Amino acid sequence: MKQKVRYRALYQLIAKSMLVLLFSFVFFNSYSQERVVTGVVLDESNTPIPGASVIIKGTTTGGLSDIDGKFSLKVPGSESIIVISYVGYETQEISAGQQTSINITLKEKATELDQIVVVGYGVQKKKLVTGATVQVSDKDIDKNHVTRIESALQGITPGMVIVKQNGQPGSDYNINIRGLGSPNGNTPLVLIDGVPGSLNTLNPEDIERVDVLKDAASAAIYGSRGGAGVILVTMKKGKSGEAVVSFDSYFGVSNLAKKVDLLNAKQYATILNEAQLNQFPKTTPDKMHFSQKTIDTLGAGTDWLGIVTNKNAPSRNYHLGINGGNDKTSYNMSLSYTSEEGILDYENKSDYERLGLVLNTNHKVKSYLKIGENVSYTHRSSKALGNGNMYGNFLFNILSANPIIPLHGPTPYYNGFGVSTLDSNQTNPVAGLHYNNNAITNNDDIIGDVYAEIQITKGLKFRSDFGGTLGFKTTQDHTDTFQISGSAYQTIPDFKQSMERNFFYNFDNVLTWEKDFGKHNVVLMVGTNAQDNWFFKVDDEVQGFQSNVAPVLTNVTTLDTVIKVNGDYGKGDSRYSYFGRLDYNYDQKYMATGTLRRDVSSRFGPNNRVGYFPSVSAGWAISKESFMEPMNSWLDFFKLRASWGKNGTEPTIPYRYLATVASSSRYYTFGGTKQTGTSPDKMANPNLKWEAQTQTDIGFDSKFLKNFSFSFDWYNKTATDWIVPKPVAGIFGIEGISTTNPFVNGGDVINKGVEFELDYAKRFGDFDLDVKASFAYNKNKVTNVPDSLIRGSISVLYNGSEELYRVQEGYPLGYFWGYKTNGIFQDTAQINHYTYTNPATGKTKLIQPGAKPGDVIFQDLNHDGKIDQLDKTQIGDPNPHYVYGLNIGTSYKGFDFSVNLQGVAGNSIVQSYRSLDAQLSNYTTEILGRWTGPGTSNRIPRVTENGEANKNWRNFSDLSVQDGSYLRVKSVSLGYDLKRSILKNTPVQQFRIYISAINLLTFTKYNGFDPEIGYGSSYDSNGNLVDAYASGIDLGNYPSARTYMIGINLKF
Amino acid sequence: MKIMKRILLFIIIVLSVIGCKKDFADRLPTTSNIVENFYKTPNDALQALTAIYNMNLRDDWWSSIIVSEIASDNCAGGGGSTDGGGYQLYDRAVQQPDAGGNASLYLWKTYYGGIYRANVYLQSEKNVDWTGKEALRAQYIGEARFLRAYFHFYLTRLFGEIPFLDHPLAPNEPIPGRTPAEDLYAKIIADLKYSATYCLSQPYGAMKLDNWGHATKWAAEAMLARVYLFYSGYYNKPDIKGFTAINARDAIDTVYNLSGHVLVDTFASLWIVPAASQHKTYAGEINSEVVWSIRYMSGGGLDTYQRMVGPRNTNVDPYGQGWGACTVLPTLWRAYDTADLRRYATILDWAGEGKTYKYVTNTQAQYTGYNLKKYENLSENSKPVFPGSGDWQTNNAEDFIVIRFADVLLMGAELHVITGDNGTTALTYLNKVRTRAFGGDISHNYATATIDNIMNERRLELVFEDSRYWDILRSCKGDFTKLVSILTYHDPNDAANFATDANSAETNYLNVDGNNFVDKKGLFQLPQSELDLMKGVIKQNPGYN
Repeated sequence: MKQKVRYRALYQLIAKSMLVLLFSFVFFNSYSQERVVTGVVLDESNTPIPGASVIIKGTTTGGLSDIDGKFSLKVPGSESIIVISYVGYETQEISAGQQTSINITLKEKATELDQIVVVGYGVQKKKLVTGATVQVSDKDIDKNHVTRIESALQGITPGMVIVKQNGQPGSDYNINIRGLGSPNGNTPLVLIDGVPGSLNTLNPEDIERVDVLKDAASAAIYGSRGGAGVILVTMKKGKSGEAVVSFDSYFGVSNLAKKVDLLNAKQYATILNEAQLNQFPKTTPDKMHFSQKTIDTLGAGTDWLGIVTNKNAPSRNYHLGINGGNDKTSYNMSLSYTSEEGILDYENKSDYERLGLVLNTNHKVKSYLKIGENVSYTHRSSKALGNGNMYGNFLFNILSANPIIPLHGPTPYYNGFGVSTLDSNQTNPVAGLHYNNNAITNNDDIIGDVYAEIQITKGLKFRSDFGGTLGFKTTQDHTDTFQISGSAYQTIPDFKQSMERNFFYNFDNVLTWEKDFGKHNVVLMVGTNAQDNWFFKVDDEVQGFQSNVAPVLTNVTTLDTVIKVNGDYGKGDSRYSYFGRLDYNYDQKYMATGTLRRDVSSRFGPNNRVGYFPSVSAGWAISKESFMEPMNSWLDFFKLRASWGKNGTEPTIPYRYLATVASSSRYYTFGGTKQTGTSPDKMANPNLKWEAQTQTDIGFDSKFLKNFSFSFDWYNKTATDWIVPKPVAGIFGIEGISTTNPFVNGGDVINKGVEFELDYAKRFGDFDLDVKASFAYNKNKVTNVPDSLIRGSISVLYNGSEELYRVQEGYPLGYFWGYKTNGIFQDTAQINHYTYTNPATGKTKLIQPGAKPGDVIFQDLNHDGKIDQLDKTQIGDPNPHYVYGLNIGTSYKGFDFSVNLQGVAGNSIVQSYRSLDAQLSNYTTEILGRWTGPGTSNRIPRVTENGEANKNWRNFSDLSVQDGSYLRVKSVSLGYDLKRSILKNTPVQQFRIYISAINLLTFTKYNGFDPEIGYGSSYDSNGNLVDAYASGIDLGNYPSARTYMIGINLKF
Repeated sequence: MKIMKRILLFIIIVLSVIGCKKDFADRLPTTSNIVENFYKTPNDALQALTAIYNMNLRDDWWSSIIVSEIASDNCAGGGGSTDGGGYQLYDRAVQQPDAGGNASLYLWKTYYGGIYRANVYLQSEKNVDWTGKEALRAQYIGEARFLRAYFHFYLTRLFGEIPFLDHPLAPNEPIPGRTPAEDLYAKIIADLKYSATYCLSQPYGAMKLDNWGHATKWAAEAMLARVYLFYSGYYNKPDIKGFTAINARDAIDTVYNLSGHVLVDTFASLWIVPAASQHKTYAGEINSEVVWSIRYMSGGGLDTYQRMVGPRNTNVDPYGQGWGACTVLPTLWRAYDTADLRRYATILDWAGEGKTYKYVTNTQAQYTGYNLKKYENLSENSKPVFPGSGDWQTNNAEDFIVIRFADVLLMGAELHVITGDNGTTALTYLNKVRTRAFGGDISHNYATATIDNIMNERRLELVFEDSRYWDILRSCKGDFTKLVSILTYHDPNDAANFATDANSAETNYLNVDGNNFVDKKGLFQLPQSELDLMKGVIKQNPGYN
């Protein structure tokens, strides 16, 4: 807590300094002698042209228009002539006159708009791209006002499924491109200005644009790590011209968007008694959980969810940027701060802060030599309540807590917290939050690179880029002694802390040669890449110390209260690669690209360390053919493209191929001495090789009727040779606890799908309209796994719960596996009619002999007269089949308004808010619709206690599965730029104020908190992937907040 | 000139790039060794040997002790009424549908895990430099072979003929089939004979404390007798490829004459809770009666049976709470003579001790009025007085005595009777146990040693020591219909306090049909997932299909 206060003070200081800095710029600027002319460069369809040259005629003063086509120019006097030029457009000259703001519309020469997209190790004109890529510009990113870039990409990147792991501030996202393809992580490779990194360190306002390489041909140039697709982030760069200072800030309040209703105290007692009587009809009144007298005195009881709801949880964001330069040097720097409080919180234990610093400069030191660097530093600090799986999930505990327990008890026992009078093992969940969840995580990440680019001769360019990341992570956690129930206690205070340092470097060297031979254009690129990392980690745990201060680790050997000091360090993960690409086009009409990458990775044994990853692609701009001329009146551009390529995926953990020995949990005591033991911890597989992702993509890009553009892609992505642990028989000695199964190549999955993207942009006088719609369909099917089946975990929903998801040939990855139900037995006659006649013996027997009226009817799918595992089948698919989004942006004079919709369909969610192994758990109010007599319900069975013969809920069935489709109004934003009115004659370029609502509405049939369920694979503290195939399981997933915010964007 | 400068700069950078070492992608873990290069010194060998012993600390709901005691006529399954009746399955020898037929998976994997580590040891110790330490090498091999034999023996008692493995299986090696019983037992005997020759052989008292826990010559000799008795009884054969009752008898006599092991004076002092409940001095984990024990340690190797057998939700000093498993059958209580001091030390009689069992309504299954005392855990209040501390779920650390000298004496008595010299030696051995049970009162001593009274004495002496069920099986001499009368249990009057409502799960009843065991020959179900992985090379035991 103390540390937190200190950081707060620091941030306040930073925020104040930002403001001082900001106003000093305003002050300075307003006394500037020269006049500033600003403007926008547009094409004929009113689309901004970024990168257009804007200079004063006869001088070198000037710069380039930014991504919005905007420019700002110091003009010495009214007689000056401003020259605006851009490749493919006719150059214009305009007299400066007295104007301060000029809008310029450039006429196209003969060609279309040459939008630039980032591809591997270079850029390419969009119209020449033959792979499937999608680009998101800062305009789209900034519209959403989010703290995380992943959130901004939701709904505008067809083919990407982006799911927030949970709604806790600072939570990460699960991203996959074109379906789940590998058990070794489906997270795309993220390159930040070419350096492998992580999206969670970025402030969205620092991002210029994001390019996503979806098909294998585009990603193949990243070979070994491109299997799950590649996200290329381009950070904002300095632009030559007058310095532009920008300040962006918002303040928001967040709330729970939807509440789940739980039984109040009286309802709870009534239902528990009913369950008891249903189970044991002969129970006498004195043996009931509650006497009628007690029930009569009960009221609403404790609203546990209400207690942990943090109303109007504040979030703040400040971003100060300075951007400028001249024809020799340009720079961009920014300072940002974000803080967020959780909407479910207790004693400020759900909290997130991020401080970021970005600096990059580019220098033209010689006519043939450019150098530059990018550096960013991010500090993140977070406190989180336990969430995710059922262990330590605070929301699961809140949802199942007994509402009769008072928050505070009348007696001094149990530290003043209320206790259960029903069962001494029931725990007050808020007391649990008070004593647990004290972990603080701090991350400090430095990411940077330096580069040099030499123009050797005309058309021949060499670029060398050395970059890296240095990450530090520390955690501290403590638990004091307490006892809050018979089963929840801590007898000795416990303190844990850990520290990690990770250094990673990346060294790229690329030689590019470009030449035109008449109408033939050839670009050849060859390069090398080397990567390596060092890691260091130490953590310790101390028990027994003065409870109000952290312990000091002194002489560990004599301190018997130190129960654990662990550490690991090493050098691993080294890779080196050679790669090349040949681009060819003829008259920008026929295009072809081929790439090849050769990767060597330390994660494989010498037998299979090398992987080759080829790709080919081709495009045909049909609209340039003469036979298409009749259609030119409406079809502006049409390009057909096709690609094929292969990528690789590595095992998530180094040394999978080696048989190592280990000593943990292998000791034995001889005499009084604990002797270390050592034995193999896994079997070797020297032949382990790369997972391969092969993908074919066929698509087209088009522009028509001037204002429309439409893209389509069909793909078939086959992942083969998964690196998976192969279960081996116990006689091989692999008992699965301290000796793990060998990793083998086995397992294939096919993802097939289509994607559409439709854009419409038009200006009607002062009214601007921009509509983007995206739609993607994906079908996932496992075609091969070892022994045709990989079983899912047990004990996922509660302790002892049966297997509920599987990976099996012919089914979607991680499909839900359980019983199909057929309603509820309404009476005994119905039970007696549910029979099976053995065709051999002619004997008839009851299929569910243990059932009582009110119990669930399970389908005997294999027709063997009994309900058992063989009747289980696919009862749901956690993978969304459809992902879509719609963005509408409009502006009129100074006003702008945007709406962003996003949705998924075709996926299922398993909900389990109640712990079935604790039969006194509370219920949601859905249980009030239970079966209580013939005709009362045909879905929710009668309430019973555990051990009930029919296993109404213990049998995992479609009763627990719901449709997870949803449509979300992700953001609505209304802004006004004061520059257009009261600030017209000031140096201010933009003074936009806006109000915005995030996650305003969600349309769904799902009855839980939030249909966006981030449950899924995670890495445990040893770096092992846990629940690699599970998703869509809601055990009390921290829901996304609904946020209202007000903010400003200021530029001058 | 300008071009030259550019090219020069380019060359410098290119040279620095290709300066990359060839073994750039060769990496080995920094903080762990690999199998090929670890085993070098005798200390490495000791660590590898220790890892084999460690497999004994694997402790689970389904340990051999819990499983065999429940299956026997000593205990019911007990536990929670909502636990799903897993324990009761062993009482009924029925298929385990809920666990996917995998209730015994743990046992299977643990024992084969131990065999694997023993075989890794025996294969890798060849790489160790043993110069000048040849005796130590033979001793360690002896211990590894002892453990390999012990794991195979415990597996075969549970599952019948199982594959004997004398080397770690390579990943691509074919799955071996079941080893015929005679070969399997001959290999076990061969291992134990080696151990009896080369393991530590100092008598108790002369043995260095540091060596306590290592399998000794005495443990190996006693195990030879245990293996012989089980094989000759269960398969009704006089010898294991030439290893006869006389060899087994001589093995026991060697332990009796040379090991220095003797009975401690007071039966109750052998375990913490029985000692505490009678205000006796606890003899400690290292005492003259312990021939070989599993050495549990606080804070690791949860000995589950201790927490499982404690009374459910009930802490009555000195009895610490547990999960109420293995409730004792009243028939066992009644089998004791009232003057037999072992009864009070072995069984907790709630009514008789005037104590209240506070289980929450409907949560204790198969409550009988009796709980176990041996290996029960101490209540929190008693812990300052007696050893052990910390959480009752995770910090139970009492050693489990695998071979107790009383068992050696009883095996000796039996073998002397079998080999015909049923004169004084058998009776001496038997009455040593008997006399102590009655506090030195010799009036209860037997006049003659017969198989019947030896088996009766074994039953009373060795409750909850993983002995009774195997004694029952071997006493069948291949005729398993004898199990019906021994194992059948139906006596609702003994179970006044458990749920009798027809709706409650069947597993809450105390209703055991011994017929279930007959066609199965008393063996348990092989874990289904293992059979799947072995691709039909090994078939399910009879009676479980």
